[in-house]
Amino acid sequence: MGIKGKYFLILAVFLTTTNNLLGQIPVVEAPKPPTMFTVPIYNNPTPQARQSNPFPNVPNSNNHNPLEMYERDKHELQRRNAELYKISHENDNSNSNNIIQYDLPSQLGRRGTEYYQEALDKLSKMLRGETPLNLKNAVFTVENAYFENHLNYSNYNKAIKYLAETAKLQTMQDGRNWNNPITKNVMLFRAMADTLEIKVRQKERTSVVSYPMQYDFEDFRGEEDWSKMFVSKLLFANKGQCHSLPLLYLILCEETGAKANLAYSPSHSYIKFKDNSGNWYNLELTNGRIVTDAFVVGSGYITAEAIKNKLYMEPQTKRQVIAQCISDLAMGYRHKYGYDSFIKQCVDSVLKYDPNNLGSWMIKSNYETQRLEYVVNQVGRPHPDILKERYPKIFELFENRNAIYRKIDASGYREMPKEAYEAWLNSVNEEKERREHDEKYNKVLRLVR
Amino acid sequence: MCVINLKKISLIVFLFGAFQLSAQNTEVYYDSYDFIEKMLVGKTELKFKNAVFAVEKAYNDMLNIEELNKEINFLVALTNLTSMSDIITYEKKDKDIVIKHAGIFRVMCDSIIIPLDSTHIFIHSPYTYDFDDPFGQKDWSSMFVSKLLETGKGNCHSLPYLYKILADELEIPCYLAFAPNHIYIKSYAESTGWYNTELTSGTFPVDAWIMASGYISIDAIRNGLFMDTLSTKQAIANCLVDLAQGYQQKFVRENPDFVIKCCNTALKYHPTNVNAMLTKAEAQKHYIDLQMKKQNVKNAKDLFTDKIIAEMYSDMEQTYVRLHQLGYRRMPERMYLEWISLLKNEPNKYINKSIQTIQKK
Repeated sequence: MGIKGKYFLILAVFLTTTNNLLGQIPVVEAPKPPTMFTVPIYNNPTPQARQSNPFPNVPNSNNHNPLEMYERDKHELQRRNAELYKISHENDNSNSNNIIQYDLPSQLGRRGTEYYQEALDKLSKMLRGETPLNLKNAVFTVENAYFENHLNYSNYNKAIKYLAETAKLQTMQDGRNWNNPITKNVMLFRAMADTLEIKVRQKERTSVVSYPMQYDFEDFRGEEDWSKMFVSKLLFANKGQCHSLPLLYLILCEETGAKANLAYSPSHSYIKFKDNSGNWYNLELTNGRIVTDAFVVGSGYITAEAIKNKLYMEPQTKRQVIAQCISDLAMGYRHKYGYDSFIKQCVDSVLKYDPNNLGSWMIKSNYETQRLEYVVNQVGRPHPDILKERYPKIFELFENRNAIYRKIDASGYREMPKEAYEAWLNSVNEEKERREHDEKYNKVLRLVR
Repeated sequence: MCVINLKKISLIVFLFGAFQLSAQNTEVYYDSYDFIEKMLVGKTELKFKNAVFAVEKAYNDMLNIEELNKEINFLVALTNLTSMSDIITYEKKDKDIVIKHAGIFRVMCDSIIIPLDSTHIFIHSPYTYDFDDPFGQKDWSSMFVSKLLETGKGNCHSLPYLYKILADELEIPCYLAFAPNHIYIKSYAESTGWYNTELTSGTFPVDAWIMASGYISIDAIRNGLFMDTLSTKQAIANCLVDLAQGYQQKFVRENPDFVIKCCNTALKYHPTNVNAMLTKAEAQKHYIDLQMKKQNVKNAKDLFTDKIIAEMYSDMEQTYVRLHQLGYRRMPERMYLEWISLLKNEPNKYINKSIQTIQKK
């Protein structure tokens, strides 16, 4: 009971401290990171942490949708704009002679923003090549900024090493060669998606059981608590979604020297890796399946243009993934402080290294919309024709915002409704997909040497 | 009541033309080639309609192009008439274009009934898919727009061609796009972005349907082999491939020179034209096989003392390698028919709902 209670306590603390961040005026109190990762050590086995799953099993009907975060942003925006509009309308006459503010009020004086500046600097240095590209550190940097430097690196690191160690020990126990990169790919996948039982040396009949990571149905879009999206949360709760699970897999690959790539599909991300004969495998970590390209395309929201423009199904380089971390950083900032020029700074640096990063284009379009609304409200929301005539600078913002929307549309992006996403992710359980998985999974197991 | 069906008017022309051909007519093919090439190099105006009819005229010199033009003009007038009534509800800036697209679609896929006076109505029936001979195996002219206009039956070649011709006449943007063994229409509307029009079934399928054929690899899309829009120039260049294929149908394939010439020119203007690559490589392969039989050798390398054959062989090999690299996979014909029927069997999955709601029933 002890460990179970502890888990719930941590979770409770976690939720209560952070769930009010989405309020209109974010609370300035620092969110508390999970203070402990319970990591068993194999030499001195205390297998309690993974032996029992503290979370009840949830039936497999899942959905998760990071891109919908941006959609939600839109609604949040509209709500705020309505308020802004009201305020500006009340002062309509008195305000008309004031000087127009063209930028959203900066939040950078507020408590905790300094960590975001630091994090952006750190990640930018990686992208510029001044420091080595390191995904483990990049992800930690993003999450630590949210927790205002309270995240414990040593625990984070230990938890990652533990998983890598699990995969390695299982491989050796099976009498396979851990140094084969494809073996690493497969075994790391198994460490995350399968139940592994590792015997403890010197202690017969004792073994550590590692359970598959699960899909987290609770607040899977990080609406109430943005830190739900984090790899650190996945590590301590053993539950994640299509944002944290693939990232953790990539970190494990980096840790062990295996090669794999991230790839996107509508509102989703997954893992691709290539075997020695050049065949690609798609790892769907949200349900531990190996899926076909046809399944990925089967969502029905992937257009030919999106594939041609490399929005979806394209193996992402490490640099691109780290650029994406900056986009995640911007999302965390938005959840804590709202939109200001820091967000723009973030997405612009992502787009500099990865001009096709869809997520950043979406954030950028939302930022520009918010900014436009803010400026337009100051002059009483006139018709665009009047804007063009009397406030050419504001009209330029308007045109600029529309150009971004057009660019996103032309790139082949289609909004995927939540229901469609759900239905699609569930279709992985259909007979055909199950057969495909079994076939591919067996094929993949044969790759382990 | 009297019903007038306009399609009967030019029906007779075709029946007599097709089979009285001889090898002397290769000259007509070179004429058609020159006619199309002039457009491509910019000496004459790029006009898809003229290129298509030049190809069909080469195969069937009885074709009366004037009559065909009249028929096209009639269809254009009919489309304009249809577009004037409020067939769809659409209120974006590109309203005029979208309504004309809807008009063409209506004319091609629906019956148009116009009362002429109290006792006469005019009916224009929809064009239908020719299940008898979808690949022109029995009769190559099944692929032709002229045949479609005469019989009201077409396939995935003639139907999109007619659509493109009408769109060009109406001066609205419209693009052909390739799928394996297939051509369809891509258009752009502000409200929906790019959308597909599939005339063989009269539907608007989503991209996932085309990918579901199973023979489009992701690489093939990335490299623009399939599902990419063809510019008018590229569509005209593709007419040269049609010309080459008609030539193969009509004459014995002993000499691949004309086919190679057509395909090379097409590839010059559209380097990823998959049909041009395939037609060319297959013609070369056929020719080399033939020479091997004639000289009774088992290995093609034995013929390489002939420099022309050696070069042809390496050209052919390079084309096949390039096709593979670009992501091309061969699609068996049986799979093709299964795939086409997916639209009927799984409409929920593959039909673009945002367009179905725009179109008024």
